[in-house]
Amino acid sequence: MNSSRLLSSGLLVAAVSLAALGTAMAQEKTMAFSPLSLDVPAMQGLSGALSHFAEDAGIGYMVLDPKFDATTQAQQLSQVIETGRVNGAWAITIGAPALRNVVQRAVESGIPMVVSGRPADYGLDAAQPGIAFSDIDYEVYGTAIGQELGNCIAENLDGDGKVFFFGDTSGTEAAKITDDFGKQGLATAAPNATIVAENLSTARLESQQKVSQMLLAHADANAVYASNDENAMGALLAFEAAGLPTPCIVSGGGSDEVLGFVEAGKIYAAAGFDFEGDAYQNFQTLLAMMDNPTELGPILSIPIKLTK
Amino acid sequence: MSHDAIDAGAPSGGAANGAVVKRQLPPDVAILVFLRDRGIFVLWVLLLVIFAVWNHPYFATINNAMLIVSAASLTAIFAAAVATGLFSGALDLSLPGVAALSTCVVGVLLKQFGVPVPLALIGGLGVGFLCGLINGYIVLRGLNPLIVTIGTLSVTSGLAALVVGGYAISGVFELEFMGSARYFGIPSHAYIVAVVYLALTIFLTRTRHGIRMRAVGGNSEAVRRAGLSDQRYKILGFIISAMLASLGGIMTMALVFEASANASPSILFTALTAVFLAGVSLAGGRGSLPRVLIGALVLATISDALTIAGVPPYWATVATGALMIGALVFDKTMTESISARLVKVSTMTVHEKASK
Amino acid sequence: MSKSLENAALRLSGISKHYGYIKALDDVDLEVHPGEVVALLGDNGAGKSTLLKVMSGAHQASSGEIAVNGRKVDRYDPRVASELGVEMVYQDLALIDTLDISTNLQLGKEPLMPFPLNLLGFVDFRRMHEITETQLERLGVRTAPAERPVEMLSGGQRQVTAIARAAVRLFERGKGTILMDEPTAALGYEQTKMVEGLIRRMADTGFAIVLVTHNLPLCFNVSDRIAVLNRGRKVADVPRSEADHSSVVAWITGAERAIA
Repeated sequence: MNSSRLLSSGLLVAAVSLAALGTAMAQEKTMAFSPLSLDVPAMQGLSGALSHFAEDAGIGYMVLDPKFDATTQAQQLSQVIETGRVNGAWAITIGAPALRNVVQRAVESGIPMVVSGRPADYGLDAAQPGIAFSDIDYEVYGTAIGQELGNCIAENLDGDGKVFFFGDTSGTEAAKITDDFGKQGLATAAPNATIVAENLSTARLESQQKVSQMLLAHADANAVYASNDENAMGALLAFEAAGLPTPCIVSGGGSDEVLGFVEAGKIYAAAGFDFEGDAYQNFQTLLAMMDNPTELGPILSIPIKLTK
Repeated sequence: MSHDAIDAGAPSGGAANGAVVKRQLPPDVAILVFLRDRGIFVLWVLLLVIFAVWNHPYFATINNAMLIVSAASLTAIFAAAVATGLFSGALDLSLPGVAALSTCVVGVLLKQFGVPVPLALIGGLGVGFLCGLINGYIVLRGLNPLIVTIGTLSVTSGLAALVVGGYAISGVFELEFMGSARYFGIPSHAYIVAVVYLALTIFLTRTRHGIRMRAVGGNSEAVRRAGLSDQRYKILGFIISAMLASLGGIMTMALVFEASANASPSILFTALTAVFLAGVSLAGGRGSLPRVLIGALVLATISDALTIAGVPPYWATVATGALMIGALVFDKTMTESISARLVKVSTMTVHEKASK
Repeated sequence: MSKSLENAALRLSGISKHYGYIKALDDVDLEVHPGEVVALLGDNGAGKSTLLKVMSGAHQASSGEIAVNGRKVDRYDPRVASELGVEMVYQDLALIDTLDISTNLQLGKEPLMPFPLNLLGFVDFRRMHEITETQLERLGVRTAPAERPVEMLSGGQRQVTAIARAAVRLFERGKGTILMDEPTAALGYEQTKMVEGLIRRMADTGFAIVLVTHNLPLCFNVSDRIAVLNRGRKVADVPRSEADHSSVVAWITGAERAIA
């Protein structure tokens, strides 16, 4: 009995204090931002930047955390859009088809959105009123990584590359596109290079262990296609540990750490989507649409940031 | 199912049972039993009221109610899978893998072989049936279910990736009727959840095999000594559990139009949270399915309310965890004080029989 | 009480049980008759539990004969024992805590609802509770209501439920043997009295009962005959009237012998 009373009074106190918080946050207009996941440092940084933009523009800001789950992303966006809680939303889409209904309802209820991809990904024929598409071009992205690796092989290894290929780990269709175009880009820039082994890894230690093991079978490997920064760092450590010369490494991503190694010449290049550079542009687009939700939304493109 | 007499009495014809128990329990114990068994309903109603006030005018709308129901549905299906396993005495960790494998099989059947939808669905559920059978069979060789199902989690998610060739199959639009579609304004998933929970609750509380399955989870030795095969019921538990995971996987695919081999363990943890929130015991045999459904709704409600309020997402994670621990403490406190009071007022008498 | 060999509910003759070089039981004879309570006493390691397991079929004797209702049984295991009407009440009780008393008692033979619901295996709870109440009434036991979950019972009520479960399985044949392992261990005074009353009345109904216990008061209150084991051998087997506290202690410690 006692504990139940305690529990309920505790809940009440919590609710009241949160309610106060909620009222303080209520503003005339509010936007929501739904990144891939707040676990990713880059997404956190982006969210921080957006909240500053929003503050400057005098609108409310809320961030959602779908944790890489397409269903969750759709549910959360529905919850803030269909209830009229927000007046605009930007989603870095996890799975475009899952957001079809969300986008459709947003159009119907006149709440503007910026979403990733192209109209076709959402089952739409053309641009929509109040919906801007921020196209993440995985073809360009994969090509950039592959081509840079090919360039390195051509410049430093006379085109004779033996490549360890670390593919995109997300298992999505975007991963397939990135990987396929990465291989094409490599073949174009260094036709004589061969991929001697393929693997998948998300963590640094795991990447390092895998590269060390792969080196047992392919001691002559001299290049690494790394879909993420952790692959690149792991590969670098594994080659050093094996006493081998620094291989050609190109990383998909571009954390500060990796960029440091690019500068030091240990990693040939890093190619990544320039989300932060793109943020302001998307924010301005959303803001404009919030003022005028019936106008057709533009189709934007996220630039690739290449560091060599 | 301490609550058996009480909960089981509820679905049908139970008025008599309920009346008997309540008449014979002292009032303070009856209140404690009510709080323990219905506490989660009370909590849910409380949350709804609090959130409605807090998030006015966004929260208390029909549309938002449907969004909560829709968000709770997937959790509810996976929670039913976990709970069924626990009722029969085993925690099956391979559920996300089974879901992924079934999803991928259905995706491949639909997109690459052009199999008609009903057949593809049967194929997907068949995969669940087989996985459950294999899990159950291996566990009955005397191996620890946790370890075995961690193994099968790995096997099934690997197989799922092999089935689709490493990358997700997208554009699976054939199942929209059981995805985001709404009928009479109610999400299709809600209908599926209603049917599953109704059928499973009746099975578990009203039928011979369901009761025996729970008995195995409670004390398999007792079932053996009653001359029944405890093994058959353990395998049955694994099969129902795995088939529900398949259903959950297919429902997810129907929503995202994509057959992905990613066996996300997060759905398992959410389901476990709902299950423990509902007072289902990890030790097996204890718990009630309707409360598991409320558990799933509570989680969806909290997440919905915090999302709408724009509270930093980390709070949702904290709140869920705190709530679960709170529920465990609450259940334990209640159970202990009920036992203490019942022993004190123990009414048993061995009345003398006139000797012949 | 008549004691012709023919009507012994359970008779063991020349039972020995070896574990490697160790003789747990050495040429033990024991019989129990319908309506009789035999208390089996002995120090720790004297072989009481082993003997009880041999009687329940859980352990196979290395040599010796077992006869049930006067008929010699060749292959004796728990299933055969149960079929022949020998039921064991284990010390761990083996109750399903989360289910109610009547489900615990009727598990494996639940009454079903009338056609067509029986085809789906729907259980008729009302009838199941009625059957349970009737059976408990016949045993002269009033415990908690049949719908109450076992976990909400006191220790004595649980013990009574476990004994009643063994008894109801024998109801259909009207007679049989019940083996009990420390039925009052961990019970308080009043609860022990309840269990004693139940044991006595079951014997009066015609059941044969073998009781393994450390509890001398229990033994003197309910038994008709007292058998004592010491280091695997039976050192005493006498009507209760011929035993007193000090003689029993002497048999248990091995200071004296008395084979009736």
